[in-house]
Amino acid sequence: MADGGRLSNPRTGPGGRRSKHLAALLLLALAAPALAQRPDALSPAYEAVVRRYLSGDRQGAVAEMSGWPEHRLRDEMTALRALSQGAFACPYRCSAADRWAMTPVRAALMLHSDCAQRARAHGQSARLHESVAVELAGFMKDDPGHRAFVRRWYEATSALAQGEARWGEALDWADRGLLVFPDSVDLLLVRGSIEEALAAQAAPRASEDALLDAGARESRSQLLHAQEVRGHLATARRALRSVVTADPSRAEAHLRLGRVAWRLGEAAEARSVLVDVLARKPDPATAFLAHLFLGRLDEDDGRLDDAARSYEAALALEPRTQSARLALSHVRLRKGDAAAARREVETAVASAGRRAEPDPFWLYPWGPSVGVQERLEALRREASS
Amino acid sequence: MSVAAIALAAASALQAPSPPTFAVGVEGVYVDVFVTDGNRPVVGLTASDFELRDDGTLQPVELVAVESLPMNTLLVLDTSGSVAGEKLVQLQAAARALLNGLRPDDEASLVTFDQEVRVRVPPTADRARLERGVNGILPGGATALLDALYAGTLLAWGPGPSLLVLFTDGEDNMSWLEAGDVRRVLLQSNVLVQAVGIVPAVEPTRYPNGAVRPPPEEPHARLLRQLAELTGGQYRPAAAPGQLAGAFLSILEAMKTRYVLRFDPGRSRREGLHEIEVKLVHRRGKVHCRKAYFAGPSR
Repeated sequence: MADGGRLSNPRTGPGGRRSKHLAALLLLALAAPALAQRPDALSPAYEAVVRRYLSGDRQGAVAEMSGWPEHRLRDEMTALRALSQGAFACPYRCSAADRWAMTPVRAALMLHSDCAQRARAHGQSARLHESVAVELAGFMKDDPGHRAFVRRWYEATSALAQGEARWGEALDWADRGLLVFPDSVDLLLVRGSIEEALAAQAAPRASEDALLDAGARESRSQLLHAQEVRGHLATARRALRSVVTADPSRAEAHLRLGRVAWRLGEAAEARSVLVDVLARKPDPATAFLAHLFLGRLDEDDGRLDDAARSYEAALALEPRTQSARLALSHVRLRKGDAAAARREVETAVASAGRRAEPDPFWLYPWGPSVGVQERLEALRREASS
Repeated sequence: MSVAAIALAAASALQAPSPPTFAVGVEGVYVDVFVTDGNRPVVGLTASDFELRDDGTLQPVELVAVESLPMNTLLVLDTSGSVAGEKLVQLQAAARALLNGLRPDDEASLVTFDQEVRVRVPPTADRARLERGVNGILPGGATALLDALYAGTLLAWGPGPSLLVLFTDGEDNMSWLEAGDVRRVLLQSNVLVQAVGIVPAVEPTRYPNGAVRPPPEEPHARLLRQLAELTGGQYRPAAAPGQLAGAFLSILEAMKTRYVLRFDPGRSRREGLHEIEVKLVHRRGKVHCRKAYFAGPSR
């Protein structure tokens, strides 16, 4: 950390004239080194609160830091910027590089991240601590020792926003991260899955005809909404294709590509992609969703027996899921057997609340955000080690 | 209940728990009809005041006494996270008010949904049990509105006409089923859907030339309205939670003042979807009723 004396709390207390005189002297003594403080030195108070976070008292540190005014935080970032620039400017070892290496910037990054989360939890703006965190990440990204950490921090932060349905912010975080780490498949997956979710949200505002046929004779507003939906889907597809190009083993990206193709009305491509997902022997949840999505394609084609088989295959993997059970019920209804359709519904509702794990279809809109708290906690632990 | 298309000949068989498939050719079809003049129901009409066409063919109709028909009511309530707080308190009060307005012998059941559909109370005339179910609602989770409406329709679809009262405060964000899937089951069933939503009132746009443009309908409100009207029901938007009880009670009022028409399409009726149109003859009023019914295969 920075050189210089540590700031103590200059409480005067209820003492007499002598104690006030001593306090004034102490203040002057403390102020002198501060006035002479180097421009690339963090204040002792900032150092102390980061150390507090580092020592394990995260809640206390977050509560303390949350009370800091913006100008103080900006001063600290100015010092950190100068320190990092000095450290990266010297060709070999130098005091700036040593001091940068000693600075627990990972803990500082997680501290400001947690302050932002705390602000949101209290219904306050998280903007200040988020912007400070981004600034810090900017200083750290060129340090080979921190680069991977910063990457995972961007991935977790964007996923956290996605998991809290802050879709626009999640996109911003993903885009910010992609500027620094353009080949991050996790960030691309966040981007693709959010665009997919945004398309699903906008879809009710666009009629089905307008969605699949831009030339359909629909009202202007519906066409605009349809364009919005198609725009989201096209962006999702680009991001997801980048994922599978960079890492063909990402089953989730393949699955989403299939679903996006279906939403775009490209059934043949959707089917091909989803069949390929199943051929890769994915985890049960991904296989369940691939069967479910294939069933919908079969239904759309009027191949009701095939659809029923797809839904039954999904149910064989996840027997108590309502999504697949209702899907099967709907096929039964389309086949003219209302009694069987009702029996499937009765089975579906009988399973309510009796699953150990959520229906994978319920987790699908949240994409890579599933498990993000564990990833954030791992980052905190790593920052504290 | 919305229009009830019921196979009378199959009625005895329909006492079984499975829902009916409407057989062609041997039964009558029931149609619930709501007639209003402005916001007020038009009362005192007779069978001769109505003209009903089945696929364009004029059909003689008879009027069935509403009091003679049992009413099976299914409450399908959105209990997702957004319903917490004042909305939930008002929703519970509204549901209790509706249950208390039913006739003593009428059965009701309670289904709730977030991302999952749950049967809280199966069909019963036990009001205390139903109220306990309503009082025990805990909000949380996402909104699988279409899945719940689909499941509720199949559960309510029984030997007689059924009323499904649907409440939601927002957009669907978790259903597997699509709106078209739900339209299909609503058309085929004899379930009348009356929907209630919470949509904050938005002022119309007033132009300098005096023209007034009403605010556009929210997409989820439009969907609810379309689905309810498909069955002959209506969508009742409440501007605030405090208006929910009024909306729920207005459903009961409408059910009491509705007309139930019965017609017999005869043995020539074809299998499949039939368009129906009901008009008033020499009387003023706006008619709400199901626009179609589905005739199943002959048995």
